[in-house]
This record gives sequence, structure tokens and C-alpha cells, in this order.
Amino acid sequence: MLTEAYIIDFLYSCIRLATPLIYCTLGALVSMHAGQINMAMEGILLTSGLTGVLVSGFTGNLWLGALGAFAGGIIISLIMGYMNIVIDANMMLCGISMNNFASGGTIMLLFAVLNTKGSTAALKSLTFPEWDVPLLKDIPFAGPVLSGHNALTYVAFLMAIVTYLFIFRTRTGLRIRAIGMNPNAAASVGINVKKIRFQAYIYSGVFAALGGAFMTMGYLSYWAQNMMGGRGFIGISAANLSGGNVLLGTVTAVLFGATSALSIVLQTLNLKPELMQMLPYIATIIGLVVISVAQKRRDDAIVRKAAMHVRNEREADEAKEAETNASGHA
Amino acid sequence: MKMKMNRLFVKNFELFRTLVVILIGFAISLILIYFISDEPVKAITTYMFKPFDGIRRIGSMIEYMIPIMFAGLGMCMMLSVSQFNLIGDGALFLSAAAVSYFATVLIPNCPPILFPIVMIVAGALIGGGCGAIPAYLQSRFKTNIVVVTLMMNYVLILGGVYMLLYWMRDPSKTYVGSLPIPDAAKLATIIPKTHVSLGIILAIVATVAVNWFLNQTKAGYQMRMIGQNPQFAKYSGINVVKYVIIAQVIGGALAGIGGAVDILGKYDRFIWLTSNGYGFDGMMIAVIAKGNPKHIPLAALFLAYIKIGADLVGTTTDVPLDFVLVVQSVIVMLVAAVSFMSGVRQKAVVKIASAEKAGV
Amino acid sequence: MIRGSGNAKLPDPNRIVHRGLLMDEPILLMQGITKVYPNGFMANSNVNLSCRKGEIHALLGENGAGKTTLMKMLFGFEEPTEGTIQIKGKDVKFKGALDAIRHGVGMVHQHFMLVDMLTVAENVVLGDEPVKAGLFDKAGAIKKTRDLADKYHFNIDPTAIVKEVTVATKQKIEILKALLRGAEILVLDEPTAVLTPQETRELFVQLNVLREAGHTIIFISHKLNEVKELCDSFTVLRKGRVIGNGLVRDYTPQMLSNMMVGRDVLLEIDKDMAVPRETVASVKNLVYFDLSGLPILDGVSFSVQKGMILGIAGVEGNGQNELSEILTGLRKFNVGEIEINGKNVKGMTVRMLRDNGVASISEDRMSYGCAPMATIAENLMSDRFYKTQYSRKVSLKRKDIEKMAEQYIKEFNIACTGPRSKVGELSGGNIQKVIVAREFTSGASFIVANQPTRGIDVGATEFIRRKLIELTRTGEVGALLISADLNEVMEVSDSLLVMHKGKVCAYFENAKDVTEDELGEYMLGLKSMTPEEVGSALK
Repeated sequence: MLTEAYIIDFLYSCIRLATPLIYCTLGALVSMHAGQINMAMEGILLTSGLTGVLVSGFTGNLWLGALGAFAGGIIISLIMGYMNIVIDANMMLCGISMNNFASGGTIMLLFAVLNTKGSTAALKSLTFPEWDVPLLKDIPFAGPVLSGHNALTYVAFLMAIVTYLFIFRTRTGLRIRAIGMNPNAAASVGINVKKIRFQAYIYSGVFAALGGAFMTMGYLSYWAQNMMGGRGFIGISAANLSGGNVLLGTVTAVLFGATSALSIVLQTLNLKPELMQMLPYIATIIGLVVISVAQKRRDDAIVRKAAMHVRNEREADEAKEAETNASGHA
Repeated sequence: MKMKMNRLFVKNFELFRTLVVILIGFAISLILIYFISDEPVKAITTYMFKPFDGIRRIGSMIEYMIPIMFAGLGMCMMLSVSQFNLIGDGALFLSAAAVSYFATVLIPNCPPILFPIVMIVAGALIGGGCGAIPAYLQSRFKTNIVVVTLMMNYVLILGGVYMLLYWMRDPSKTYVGSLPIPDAAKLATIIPKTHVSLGIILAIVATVAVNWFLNQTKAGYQMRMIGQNPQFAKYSGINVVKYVIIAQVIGGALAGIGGAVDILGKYDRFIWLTSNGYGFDGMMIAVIAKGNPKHIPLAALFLAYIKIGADLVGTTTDVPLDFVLVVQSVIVMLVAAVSFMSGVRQKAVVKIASAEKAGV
Repeated sequence: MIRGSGNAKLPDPNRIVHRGLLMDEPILLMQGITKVYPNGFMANSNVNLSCRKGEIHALLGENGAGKTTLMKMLFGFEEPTEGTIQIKGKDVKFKGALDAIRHGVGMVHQHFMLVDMLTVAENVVLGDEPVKAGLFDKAGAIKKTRDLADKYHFNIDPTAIVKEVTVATKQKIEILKALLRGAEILVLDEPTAVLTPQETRELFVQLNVLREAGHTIIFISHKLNEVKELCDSFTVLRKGRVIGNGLVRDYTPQMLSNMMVGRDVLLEIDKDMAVPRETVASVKNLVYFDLSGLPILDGVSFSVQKGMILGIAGVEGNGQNELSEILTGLRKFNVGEIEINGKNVKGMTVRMLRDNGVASISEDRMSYGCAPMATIAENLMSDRFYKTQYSRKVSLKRKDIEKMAEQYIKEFNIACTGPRSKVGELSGGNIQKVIVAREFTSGASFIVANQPTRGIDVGATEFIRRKLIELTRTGEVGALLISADLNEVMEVSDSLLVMHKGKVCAYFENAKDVTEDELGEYMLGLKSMTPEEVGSALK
């Protein structure tokens, strides 16, 4: 059963299935560092998946298709940003509403453009190619696992590095982090908090758009109604679990991809598919609990350490005072 | 005269704002239909007027109100303690599936009258349990209740589908459906020629009950104080942790009852394979109603109206019915937007203040 | 050129003043500043402040005196209702923090505006970050910070994470932030409130370095010993007005204290003698550490008897709020014994405490004292709704509740349209009366009143004070009155204690036995009683 070919296949699927999750995680990480949660990830995936397919189908150009995907994601982010930041609607409500907005809006768009309902199967849309990476593909065992993925999968890992650089090495990233941690401090040095928050929404939308493009122009070659199955939320959870660390977030996303792959494998083993499909969601909930327990332990330790530090300092100060007083009197 | 209108406007600002938002939403739906359809006039008239055309269509509206009123009341309970517990969708679905399972497989020979009562109680218990889990997790571990409940909804719905496929499926049918639900379990139809069941009466009773609970009981009072100012509640001696959880259990139970009532009132078999979106519907009407159970029936009627209108448009013209989701989303966001129209209000307040200064 | 700043000795005050007198024109001149808030509260009234270049100017006053408001206007957070500000002889009108920064005004806030998880250097350059090849130039930021720190002999590590540095270092970062942006006038708001004596000395060294470099410093404080040590000139504010100004060397701390703490109008309250009965609340050696290990309450002991009012005087922030929260169950204490009505209250919930006879008026009425969106009736019943006279097994007895509300509205003179009005629509004084009505009729035998008349009108103030005295004179109630209002705490209390830095530093069995000047000196830490004298507070 557990032959080498089987394992290679499984690991390959893990990476493949993780691709949209990685994109969503990266987008969620940008939001997270800005102190907000972009609950509309799911809607962005859906919308960008459709706009990418439509543009690539009509123009016959893959790059324009990618731009189309970006456009879809950015539009949702813009509306989200306007509602949450400009007219102050509750962030969670906005996100959930935008997901439903996208759900209905994409169906409308599909109908308006193609006069069909359900999916874009009829349209000849393009897909991103798969790359057999030279040299890599010849490595035993690791080769077939890592090579032959869709271009967008490799881009996803590249984007992880880009995200890291963006958040932790650029000026804008620094400001985003400052706003996420202490918006008053940022405002006190003249940073426009609202503008940066808006930008953060748009960046997260761009990342998620790539995830959507992968789903409809890589993983599959068409778009269908409500096809994203909660991937956006899983991405948000992976970001939560990583505590803001890009590497950890990417790894977590891959792990969630693994639970999806696992559920598929288990389905072939005659375990009921519905139960298996629950795995990623249950894993997410457990993960959230675990991280909060770990967080609390860490906070408690920090407080204890700080209290000890302060007490030691005070004792040292008092000792010094006593010394100087003693020597002063002498 | 103008000053009187200004005063009226400021005093009832929230009501005006909600009405304006609903009008905007409605206008958006008209615009969408107009531009998408090849026969815009027919589509628009269908949307606006067909829901009232005939007893069957009016019945459809009332039928739709039943599950969403329960979902909305459930959400009102969540909002009463200021928790964004969105388990309504999953709780409703699972409860409907479980109730179908009980009715078709576990206790198909339950005596009439007792049968639906037991089913509804079962629905309440299941929904309550669903509501309790995220509430407990939030209270104990401070997990984000929105993400947890959205994830749980996927799990609950998969669970319900699982029950359908493996525990109560009717093998003799080509489509996916459960065994037939015993007649003794079903809720009687109260309007002939429609599917409007006793459920609507139950929904109205539930509205009255929730309103009474929140406004007239000790527990409801404590929940409302917690929702309005948790620090004040704690300072007054109220056990905040306990009542936050109880409120969410009741909220889940209401959604569960909604699921049971919907199945037993409208269906011969359980055939749901995906969510019907009742959870989002419930959230929408709770937000429009500003968490006040008294406003739920009217808000539910409005939503049912546009949903049935959209459905009719979807079946009789070329426009897909899903445009209504776009409308719902915009309405929810605008109603929840604190700053929407706040500029208009500010101008009116300034006008009143300067008029008062001038001695008008 | 920086001279003589390497060692820890302070420069000769005379020399500094002399240097200050070389420049005739003040670098900062605030004239006729008045600030009235939209709710009618006058925070500053015709305030004049003038600073010479290169001097350290102390801005003195109690909490609520108007110091922070004045500085807010200097820093561009608020605009004056009347008056002018001139910097280097030019009229300025600041529209925001950036404006003020551009004119060379730098503010070091009391509550630091720092991003904990970033490094020192990142915090210093935030908003004006150096860039290299499109990326944030981390090394450049570190160098910039280090150079600046070295220039002023600040000893800090630019690569440290702010969360892990000491409070003193955080303050230095705030100063560097201001200096980086070219601040010539530095405003420090209560900078030594959070420092140890050693750190304070270090800060003074740095401030002198800055002074020698030509910077002007406004030093907001109420620590008179430090002001004497460090500052050249001063301005005293009280209740929004300037009480006096001059050169520090011409005044003793006692004289400064008398200017800061005093009563404008003598309030006399007609009250019967207190006849203290049995002890209703006793606190023994109470210790409470905050989250970073600082002792906010450091061995507090006192007791309150039925039939009398014990007042706690003291500048805010010396542990009074924490004490009030501990006594009412909103905070857990670490060490000590508290007994109320004979029962040890450790671990009691708020409900249990209330059932044990405790009621309280919280100092933040909107956050703790009421639910603004709820009706007056709902607010009045929050502590008693479960009692049998107001509820049945499940439901509330609405009629009885409404009757109770109407009765109290009349009895406490609450101006409203009825028990169904929303509390948030009432004026501050009436909101407080709702809270007082609830707490005073709760049947409690121990009442903790924390700033009960802050920010409300004269009529409500007099009413509440009278009611409190009445309650205690029945002989059934003992009250603890915490107040920053000197009139109130001296006239309403029967006995009086003073809290300073979490300790009881003075106790007067008869509140009439102390003058306001003396009280001020205790409040400001200039004087302190021996443990034996203070020990009699606990009977």
C-alpha cells in the first residue's frame, strides 16, 4: 500500500493543494500585521478566479488573464476597504457580506458575459503551464515531488519570500506593522493610518487573487459557482496560527494542504468523503485553540519575567541608595 | 415647518437611515436586473409585483419567512450579548438533517401531536449544543468566534449531508433524498394551496417569546446589560461569563428549531445537499432589526419579498436569482456602517442648534 | 559644544539662569490662552507661559489643573479658544502634530507612543525612514539612531526590541524621536513618574546635556524636590489659571506646594458630629502588584467605622483607583487582609461583596457606573433586580421597578422625562445622581465613593455630598471617600488619610486638624508621617 510511488504522489498533492492556501495565508498575513482581518478572502478567490478566466478566455492572453484576476481581487478589496475604513462598518460584517456579494456577483457576471449559469466550462480559457524544473526533476524521490507543479505553485513560494521582504524589509511594511501594533504611535509621527490600512486590504486582495487564478487557471481550467470551499478562511486561520511569521504561515498552509490531500486519500480508502472533508476545518479550530493556549502561556511568562526584572532592579536601586546614604553620612 | 422636519429627522435618524439603505438596496436590484436581462421590463415587473400574484406566491413568501425568522431571532440572541456567533447556518442545517433522521429512521412510529413536538425539542437541543461549542471556546480560549463558527458551519453541513447519504437515504429514488418523513411528524398546512405550515405560527410565537425573554425576564435583562456595557454588568454583580454562554446556547437553539420547523413544515423528504444561506439571511434581518425581536417579522417579510421576487425572476426570465445576494450584502454593510449618512445628520443637528440659539 | 556633562554632578543653577538671561526674547510665548470645551468645561483660562531659550521650565499643578490641555495646544492636538502662541517671535497656529513638529516642538508623552515589537531604531525613524534600493535601510536607521544618541550622550542600544527595554530607555527613545525631527522645544509630561531614583538621576544628566546644547525644556511635574534640583523657572497652574511664576531658586518647595494645592473658595458644610460605631471595613497590609511587578499598593492599612466618613486625599495615580477596585471586587489583590462586616472578602465575587453590604461609586461613571443606552429604571435595578421585591421566579416585576424608579427620581431630584429615559441623554450631574441613587439605596453598610462629584454641576455636587453625610449619620453606614477635590475631601470627611506612592503617608483622626497647606505637602511627598502615627488609621 504505502509504496514509494504512493508517497510521492501524496506529497506532490500536498504541495499542489496547498497553493491557493499559501496565497490566502500570505494575504491574511499582510492584513494581520496591519491589525485587521480580511474576512473577504473567500470572495476575493471566487471573484478573481472568474475574472481571470473571462479575460484569458476572451483575449487569448494568459498575462492579461492574470491581470484580470488581479482586477477582480482589487475590486472586492476596494469595496471592502471603503465600507470598513471610510464609512466605518464592522470589519467582520463587511468581510462576510463581501463573500456573499462575491457569491451572487460572480454568478451575475458570468451570466452577463457568457449568458450561462453554473460554470465557464464552455469558454476556452487558458491555464498556466506546468514546469518540469530541469535538474530538480532528476533528483530521486524529491524530484517528482517538487518538480512538475503549475507555474503558479512555484510563484506561491516565491511570493512567500516577497511577502517576507515586503512586511519586514520595506518602509511600507514597517509602517503597516507599526499601525497593527500601535496605531496611535504611528499617527503621532504623522503616518496616515487610514491610507495604510486601505493599502493593506488591497495588498491582501492581490495575493488572494493569485490564489483564485490558480484555482481556475491551473488546478482546474474553468470556474464554477461557489467552488472555493472555505479555502479563504483556512488561509486566514493558517495566518493566525503562524503568529505573523511568514515561514511558519507557509508551512502551516502546506500542512493544511496536507489535511486536504489526506482527506482525499482516505476517501479512496473507503472512508466516507464527507467526514474526511471535515478534516481541514476541524484542524483549523483545534489549531486556533492551541495557539491561544500557547499565547497565554507566553504572556504569563513575560509578565512573570518582567515582574522579577523590576523587583530585582528595585532591590538593586534600594541597595545602592542605602550605600550612598551610608557613605554620605560617613 | 422645515425645522419640524429637521427635528423629526434627527429624533428618528436610525429609522430613516435604515429605510434609505433599504431603498438603495432595492434600487440596486432593479439596476442589476435592468442591465443584465434581455427583457428588462418583464423582469422588473416580475420582481416587484409577481410575489403578490396569487395565493401560492404570497404563500411562498410566508414560507420563506419561517426559517429566516428563527435564524434572525437566533442572531438577535447573539447580538444581545454582543457576540458574532454565526453558527445559525450550520445549526439550522444539522438540526434539519438530524430531525429528518429521527423521524424517518429512529422513531418513525412516534404518535402524532407528540411527534412534531419531540422533533422540535430535538432541534432545539442540537442547535443549542452547536451554539455552545464556539461560545465555550471563546470564553475559555479567547478564540475568534467568527472564524470558529464559520469553520464549524462547514463541518456541521458536511455532517448533515453525511447523515443524508448514509443514514437515511432512500435507495429507491434516483435523486438524492431521504426516506419519506412520516405524516405524523409533519406540521399541518394552514393555508390551503400553499405550503405555509403551522411553522409561521410558531415563528410568531417565538418572536413574542424572545421579545418577552429579553425584555421581561431576569436572564434577558442581564444579557442586555452585558451586551450594552460588560464592565457595568460585572460591576453590578452580574455573572457575565455564564450569561454570555447561555445567550448563545439559546441563539443556537432557535436556529435549530428553525431547521426542524422548516423540514417538518415544507418537505416530504430531506433533500438538502448545501446550505440554503438561511444563516446569512438571519444575520441580515437581525442587523436591519438592530437586534430588536419586535422588528424581525417586518424585516423577514421584506427579505422574503425580494427573495421570492428574485426566485420568480430566476425561473421565468433569463436573470439568475443570485443577484439578490448582492443586494443583501450591500444592505447589511450600509446599515452597519456607522458613518453612513452621519454627515447629513450632523448638518441637521447644526441647523437645529442655530435655530434654537436664534430663539426659533 | 558640550561641556561638563560626562560626570553625574549637576551644573550650578545660578550659571544656567544667567545664561538664560542672555537672550531677551523668549523662545516660546503663550499669551492669554483660554480653552473651553464644547460641553462648557473651561480647561484653561487666560494662561500666560513664557520660556527662554536654553532653560528648563517647570509647569506645575495638580491633576486637572490644565497642564496637559495647555501642552496639547502647544503640540497641535487642540486649538485654543482664545489666545496666541509665538515661537521665536513668530505667531503660530498649529493644525496638528506634524505642524508643531515642523516648528521645532517635540512632545514626550507620559504614556509612551512606541511600537513594542519593533526595535529602538525602527521606532525612532518611524515616519521618516531611510531607504536604500527600495528597501528599508535598517543599517542606516541604526546608524542614524546611534549617532544621535551619542551626540547627546544617551546610552542606548538601537537594536534592542522596545518591549524588552526599561521604562527609562523608552523615555529616551521618545526624546530621540523628538530630537531627530529637529525639536528645539521639548515638552516632557511627568517623565519621572515611572522612573527609579537612579534612572531619574540619569535623565537629569541628559536633560542638562540638552540644555547645554541649546534646547529648551518644559518639565511638567508635581514632584517639587526634582523641580528644585533641575529647573530654572516655573509656572504654577491651578484650576486652569496661572497662580504664579518665577525663578525656582527664589522659592522653597513649601511655597510652591502652597501655590499648587489650595482652595479658592472655602467650602463649609454644615454637618453633625460623627459618632463612629463598630468597624465595617478593615484593610491590613494590602499589597497589589501591577502587571509589570510595580507595587501599586505597598502595605496599606486603615479601617472605616459605621457612622463616619474616612477620606483619602492624594494626587491621582497613587493607588487610589486600584484600592477602590479591590474593595469592590473588580480586582484581585496579592497580599493582605480585607474584612468587611466581619467577613474576610478574599476571593469574593462582586455579587457576593454586594450581598455582604458593599456599594460603590466608580470614578469612571460611563465605563463602569452605567449603561448609557439603557433606561434609568434599568440602570437603577442592576444591583437588585434578582431580589424578590423586583422579580418573580423568571420575570421581572416591571410595575414595582418603575415605581421604585419614580420614587428615586423624585428623591434624588433627577432631571429627566421619566424612568424610561435613556441614561445617556441626561447631563453628567444627573447621570451621577442615578448612580448615587442606586448605590445609596442598596442597603449597603460600606460605601466606597471614588471622585463622586467630578465633572458635575454645583447643584448635583451639593446634593450628593449631603446625601452621603446623611447616610453615615444614620449610624448604619460607613463611607470611604476618595477625592482629588481638596474642598470635598477636607470638608466632607470626618477622618482623613493621605496616599502617596501606594503608601499611607499621613492620617488625621479629625479632618479639621490639618490645614490645606500641610495636606498639600503630604500629598506631594514633601512630608511623611511615621509608621506609628499612620498606624492609628487601623483600629
